[in-house]
Amino acid sequence: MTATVLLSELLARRVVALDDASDIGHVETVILDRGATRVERIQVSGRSRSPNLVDWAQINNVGADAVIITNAAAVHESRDAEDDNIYVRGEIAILGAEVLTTGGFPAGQLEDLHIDTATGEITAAVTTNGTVAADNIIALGTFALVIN
Amino acid sequence: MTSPRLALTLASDLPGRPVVGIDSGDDIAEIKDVIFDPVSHNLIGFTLNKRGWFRGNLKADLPTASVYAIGPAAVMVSSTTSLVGDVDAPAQLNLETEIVAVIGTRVLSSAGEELGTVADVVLNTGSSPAAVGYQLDSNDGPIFVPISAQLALSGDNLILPEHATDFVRHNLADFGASITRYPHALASSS
Repeated sequence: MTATVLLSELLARRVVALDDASDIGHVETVILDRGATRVERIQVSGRSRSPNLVDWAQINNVGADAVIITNAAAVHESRDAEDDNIYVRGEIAILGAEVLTTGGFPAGQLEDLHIDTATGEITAAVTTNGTVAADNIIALGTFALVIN
Repeated sequence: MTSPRLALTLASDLPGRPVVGIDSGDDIAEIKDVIFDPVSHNLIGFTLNKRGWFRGNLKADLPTASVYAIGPAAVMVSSTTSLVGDVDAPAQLNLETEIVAVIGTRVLSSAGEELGTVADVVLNTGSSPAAVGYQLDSNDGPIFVPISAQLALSGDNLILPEHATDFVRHNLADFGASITRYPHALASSS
């Protein structure tokens, strides 16, 4: 059985590097692909001005108290400015986002995401109108989460 | 079982409604004007404004055929490529035959009774957007009359054919139910 973590529980969790046991920071937000199928990267709080990002593939373990990443050098700056920055700038607020059907009908607000800890895949979305399976999630953008 | 009814909206309710790409979830534009051909009574499409703080005319249009669905919260399109530049837009979209051209037109029954003047265009929503009727201002308040190919436009008058009079209603919801049984509706929903 795949282990999943809720986005709301992942946010603010400590991020620690496995190689030198250093504290990297806390999870500030996650960056999804356009189709909202997976978490591509996490943004970690830090002192530098540009956002600190860690690819999901560099996450060794999502533990109850800390996210363990493979090594401290895995922290990098934004490589895909356009896509990363809309999350970092807060233009796409994941939790609280409006939910819209393909017919243009309002379908509540996004309350949480279930994330597969191994792959970063979104397995389900929790909305104020109920849970939406991954198959019915189409995209998350600046206006809404679009679902079938 | 409830009787079928169309979900209708007034054309004047659409300006400002966001246009959202299904593939992105982004609000890529918002409706500026509804473009309607008063001679053929066809919904041609929509001109667009940009979204956000720096609103302004967007140099792209949305033809009716490219609309995925008109919903109460947004007009849905497949992607940004559903919007067409002015060059590629249907000729009528460039002419901007706006609804204004038909507003105020006097509507008479074929028996010569004056029903009212056109105040708005009634559109079917969902995945088959089309103009299906006119809202008229009359002495008895708003009334709704169906659109058909036989609806003759002569000078300043629209003549409502006799077969349409049974489908006239006094509110939009009742009209949405009556129009599903209207056999003379325009076939062209795209």
